[in-house]
Amino acid sequence: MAQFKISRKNMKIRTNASNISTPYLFVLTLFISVFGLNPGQLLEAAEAQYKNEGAPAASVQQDASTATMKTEKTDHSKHKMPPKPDGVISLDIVEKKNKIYLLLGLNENGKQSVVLKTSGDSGKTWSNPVAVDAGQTLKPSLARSNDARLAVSGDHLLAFWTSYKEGASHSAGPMVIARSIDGGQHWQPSSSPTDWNEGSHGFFATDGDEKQLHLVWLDSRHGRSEIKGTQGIRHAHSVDGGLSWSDTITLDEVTCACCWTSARLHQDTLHVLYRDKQPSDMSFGTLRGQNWQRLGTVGEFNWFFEGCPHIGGGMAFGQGEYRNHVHTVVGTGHPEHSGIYYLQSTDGGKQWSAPLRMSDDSGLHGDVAINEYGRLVVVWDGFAENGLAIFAAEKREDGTFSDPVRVSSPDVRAAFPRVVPAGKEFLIVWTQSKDGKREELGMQHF
Amino acid sequence: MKNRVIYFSLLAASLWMAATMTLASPPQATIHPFVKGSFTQIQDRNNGKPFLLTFWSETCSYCMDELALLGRMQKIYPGHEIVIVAADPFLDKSVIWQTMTTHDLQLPETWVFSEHFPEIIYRDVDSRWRGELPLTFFVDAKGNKHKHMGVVSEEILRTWFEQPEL
Repeated sequence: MAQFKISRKNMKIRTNASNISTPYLFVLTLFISVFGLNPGQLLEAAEAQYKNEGAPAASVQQDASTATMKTEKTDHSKHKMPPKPDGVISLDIVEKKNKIYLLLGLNENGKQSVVLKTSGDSGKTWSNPVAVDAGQTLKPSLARSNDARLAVSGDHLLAFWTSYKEGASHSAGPMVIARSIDGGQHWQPSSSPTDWNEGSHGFFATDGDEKQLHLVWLDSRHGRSEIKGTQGIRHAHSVDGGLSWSDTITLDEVTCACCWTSARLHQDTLHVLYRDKQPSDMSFGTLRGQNWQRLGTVGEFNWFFEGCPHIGGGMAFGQGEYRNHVHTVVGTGHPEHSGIYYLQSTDGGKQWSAPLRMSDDSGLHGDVAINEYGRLVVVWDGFAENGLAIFAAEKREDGTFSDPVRVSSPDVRAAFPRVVPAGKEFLIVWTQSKDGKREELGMQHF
Repeated sequence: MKNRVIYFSLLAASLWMAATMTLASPPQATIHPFVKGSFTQIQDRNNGKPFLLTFWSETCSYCMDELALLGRMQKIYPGHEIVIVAADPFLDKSVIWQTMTTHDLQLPETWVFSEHFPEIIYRDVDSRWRGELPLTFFVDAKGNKHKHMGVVSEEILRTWFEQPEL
């Protein structure tokens, strides 16, 4: 029906302009439809030809051929992604100077948006949501594990997420950047950190302090690598609250294409945890100025996996005399070692302790945090009787962990937990659902 | 006169193409819901007949490679049982059919995850499966399952299809 309307509309134009009668256009439309060509495109090509009286008929065929190729490509890429649930489909949480920032990606009837809520009382009460995507022209493409991310640098806040691009692989487009200069009360589009705007960009990790903002992301600017399922991990930073950005540098050209990364500033150095390739274990490195150094592998599981893990890790740092201590949680799907593991480095990430598995082999996604009192908590999701559930455990002074405590309710399926310090306690957040159709924010102090 | 020739040529070509495509196109596969217990159901239904079962996802580029390879193998080794299961819950039927067409997989039926929480199926299929894709099971005549996580090589597939008992 749509094609017919297009044809009718175009027929009127061309009947006057070029003496093409209705039956001919009908057959032309039928012909093109059978060959898979969009009649609108062909008529566009035909119009171009008729406008150019000197052009030979062959030129129409050439245009049509080009249009056919274009159509085939578009048709292929029109694959619908699996349906997304309504509710909270993206989540990031940041704690800075006793204030907690919660960046949420929402989906309501297919319309996605990004909002920020803040809490000044360790997560007991929250501000009303503020639209972070105000004024943006590109639609978001949000998903758990490729969440929108937030960086805080004093009153300057920056949020990053992947845009939706029709026809692109996984419908993923270039990054979207939103900036606030008043602590998150108002937002506007901002300049892009990347020197390759085509995209797609995704799997962002970001952090900031009073002096600087850093962004790490994955993209395939150099095309497909010889090693399948990989992207390069890039970095840029800003020292003026996100107004301008450094040159983009590549930290590692071959990393897992679909696993989230973590980036944390500590002692003026950016620490990056990301999933490598061949093997698909987690790598750790530091960036001082523009000097990147890959320090080693966190958890040498030797997981050679030609597939899509969608699993990353988390990290936290000791304070005071323990400031060189780095604590990480990493996930692996190695058939003999699968689960979530805690590892510690006492020399800034050069050497790592033996991996300590949290609970059984079902752990999938994890995070770790330390509060100012030196308490360390690991959170993860793992299989329970009705699906995934959120668990937490605290590290004891002897290096072992307390028994895991289930923090999500038994009547929901809960996944992708994050944890931040919240005063003397910790705030654990995640997304949960009762029916799989609507995801909600789950939250628990620990 | 010239216009009439073009007109009838186009009409004839359209009708011929339409008829050819209709006759040549295989019927679209019947799509079954894959839920907890479906793997066992498929195994029971094969009743001692070896089969290969691959879980794939629309968002997994490795899976697309494996499906393409299966499409080629199907032509070289016709008659062997191949089962493919889309692991994206409630993936649109058109995507499944399109994916099969793109990779030249001609199967009378196929499956799609039909639990809102896919981990329920993961645990049911294999207690150690956590959703990694692609995942392929080779099930022999005795019902023994061999699991292969990650994309399967052509060599492995040829070895499987060339077994005498198949």
